[in-house]
Amino acid sequence: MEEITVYTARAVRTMEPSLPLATAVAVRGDQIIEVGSLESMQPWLQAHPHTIDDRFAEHVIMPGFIDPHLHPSMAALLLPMHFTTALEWKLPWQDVPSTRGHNEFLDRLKAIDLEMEDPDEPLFAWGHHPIWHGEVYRQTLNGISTTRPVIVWHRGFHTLVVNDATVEWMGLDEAEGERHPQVNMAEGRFFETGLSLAFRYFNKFTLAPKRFADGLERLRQVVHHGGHTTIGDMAAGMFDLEMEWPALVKALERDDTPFRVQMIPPAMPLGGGKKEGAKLIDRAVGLRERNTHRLRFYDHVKLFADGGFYAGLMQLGPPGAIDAHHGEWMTPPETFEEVARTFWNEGFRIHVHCSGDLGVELALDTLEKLQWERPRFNHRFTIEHFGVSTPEQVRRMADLGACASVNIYYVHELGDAYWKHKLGHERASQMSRLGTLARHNVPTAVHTDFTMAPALPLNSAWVAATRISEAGHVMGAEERLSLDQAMRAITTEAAYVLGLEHEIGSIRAGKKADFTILQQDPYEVGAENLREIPIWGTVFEGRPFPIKPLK
Amino acid sequence: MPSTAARIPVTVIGGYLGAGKTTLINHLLAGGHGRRLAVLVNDFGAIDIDAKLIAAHDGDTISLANGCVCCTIADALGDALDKVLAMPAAPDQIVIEASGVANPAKIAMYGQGWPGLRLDGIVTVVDGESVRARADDKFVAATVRQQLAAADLLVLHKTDLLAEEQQTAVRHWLRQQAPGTRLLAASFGDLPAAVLLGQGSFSSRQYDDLAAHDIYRTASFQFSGPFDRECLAARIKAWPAGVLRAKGLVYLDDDPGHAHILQLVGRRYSLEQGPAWNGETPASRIVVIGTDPDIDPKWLRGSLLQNRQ
Repeated sequence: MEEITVYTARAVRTMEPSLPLATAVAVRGDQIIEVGSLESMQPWLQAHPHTIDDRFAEHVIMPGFIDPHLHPSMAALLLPMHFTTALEWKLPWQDVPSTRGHNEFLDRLKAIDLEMEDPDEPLFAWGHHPIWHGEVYRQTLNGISTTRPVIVWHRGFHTLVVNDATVEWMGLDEAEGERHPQVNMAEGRFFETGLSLAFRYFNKFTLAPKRFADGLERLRQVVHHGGHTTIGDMAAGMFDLEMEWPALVKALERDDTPFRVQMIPPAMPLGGGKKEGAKLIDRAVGLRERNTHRLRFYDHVKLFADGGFYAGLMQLGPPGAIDAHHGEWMTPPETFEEVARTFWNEGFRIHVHCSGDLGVELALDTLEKLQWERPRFNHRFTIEHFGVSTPEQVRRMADLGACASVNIYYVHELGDAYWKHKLGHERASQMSRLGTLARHNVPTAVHTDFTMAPALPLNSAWVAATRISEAGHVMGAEERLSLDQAMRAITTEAAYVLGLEHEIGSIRAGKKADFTILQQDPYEVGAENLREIPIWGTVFEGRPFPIKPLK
Repeated sequence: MPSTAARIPVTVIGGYLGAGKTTLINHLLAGGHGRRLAVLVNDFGAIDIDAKLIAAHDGDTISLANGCVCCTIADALGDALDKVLAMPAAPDQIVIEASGVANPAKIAMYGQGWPGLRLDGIVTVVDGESVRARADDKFVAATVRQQLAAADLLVLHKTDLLAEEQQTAVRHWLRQQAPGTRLLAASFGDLPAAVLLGQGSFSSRQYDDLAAHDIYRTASFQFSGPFDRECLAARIKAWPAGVLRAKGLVYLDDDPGHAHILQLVGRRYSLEQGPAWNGETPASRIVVIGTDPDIDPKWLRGSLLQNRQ
């Protein structure tokens, strides 16, 4: 039997209402033996060999943070690119400063160009937004380099602009490019379906095995630095599972990876395809055969209702939008219902991507129908994202036993823009309506959908509890969570949404010894300072993993 | 850069789930139109190709006895198009079955912009029984209306299930939704390839499948004098709604060295530079297909030349 290690701390915030505050936690192997004080756990310590480890004596121990919805593969594509965002990003290898203003944006690109060692390596910069950076054109980017391909990708992913060297690198005939209705060769601009044409050439480079592996290694560091010990890959295999799976295993199933990944595959191929129910079930069940220690498929699947929130393709109910808005369905409503029924009747737990209130409505209409046909308790049907919703939908979620996993960063990054250009103040200030969810006791987690928001749980909790927009406005004070609710949304409730509440999410005897070690106490610093709390590191399955400071 | 003539034409078949797009495509694949088709299916159903036509299965690709291929595309339409373009024997035409919730105009952008391809046109298939209810449905109203608006040709399908007065009412309604869009009726996908996909060449052999449909008429026209670009466009745009398609090689006075390729699908009209005449005596040749009872060679000649001879 392994020796017991007792970690003492300034405070152990267990997130268990029965014993919320403690000063010591005893761990054996990957398991918590007891939480309490050195005195209270004496019977264990007298009966078994143990050591007292006081390295956290000045710190605060919390349950390991959980992000139930992020996208490792998307992150692997994006993280090797250079971030040039208007908002700050904290990355393990770099604090990305806020870049605002046209000249500042160009200066940033020039600086990156100078720093790059290989003169031929394409410069991919992500984060351009005309509101902050002004328009950039092919000519503008020729001013950065005439020899190195320079590609500037929009923060919301739907447009990119390239210089002459990129066109040459692509080998794209000018006249051929010009034919495309969503490509403007004179401006060097590829948008919407025109992006496919650009990535036809880029993918050889951006998805090349070495670069993808480098991206996953960066993702590994990002997840650790955020203080996570569990994440959900909420669309496992989003590009191509057979390409991604070996890369994920190689990059993440390592002794020094301090987190686990719950793999939630799409219930059906994203773009459609065969839908014979039995085959879908067989496929979802069969995926579990490949499970490793850290990467696990289980009885959760993902469905998609309407289009994305950053892409502006969500389906809005009345009264629609200020601008000429066109929502899209990712799955036809009839197919959505049919596939949901297939998995519901097999006992699966279903997560539904819903961005707009009409998307939420489709998910809830479907859930209500399935409950009528074949009632289930404890089904964990979860609405994911929850950008725009109505209060009545929240009440209906409570009635039907649904959960919520909310992208709260929408309020911070898009709150002002959607107030002014799309939804008006009333609905923009009530995006991601956490307060109503809490008032109806709907189990509610927050997530980042990384790379849609920074993979920093304390940052998510900060937005959840303050609803401060990037311009500094409080967006919808009544929809804020309390500090405690916000901390639950990245621990206990996130574990519940992932169906892992018996193993993780709080600190109590019998659970996994997953901790996030904070250098300040969230309950002392208060909601407005949550995102500033320094993280010492984590303990994953009983083993400490300090975060190495930036070089 | 490939000339217009060398690009493979792409026809997009759109329409809501259950409108009968696959039935239409099966009918096309079984037809004796002599063209090699590549069909890309992007719908949420299985590839439901008529078993009698299938020669071999290979993963997501189905080879058909008549030399055509079918494949499913999950998301990556561009990849699927590249695979088709890389086939040892390129197909004569690509048909994309759009997803039931797609805006076919968006899919059509691939035809307009993908290297090696050109857009033939957008055909939206309409379930005559359900389209009006769907156009008011709380979830899909906007999607269905967008699909109607995107069409170059509307196919009112499943007419066998519609009583005469129902059919009249839905036709009337469709004309209001998509004013000026050419409208055809069909049941069980029974539409000639020449109408759906266009005339394969100028030889009348290609229209054999038209003979079985007495409502379709064709006419062709030849003329050795040059046309004025603007004048020709104005005359073609004045054609009645019963003209569904036209195709032609045109001799233009502002570029007498090159043939120009004329394409008309519904109201979608294009005239692009084609190959040089290369010693051949320049002359214009145009064929039309439509349902207007006036379509005949005399009418066609008159409409194009008017007071010229």
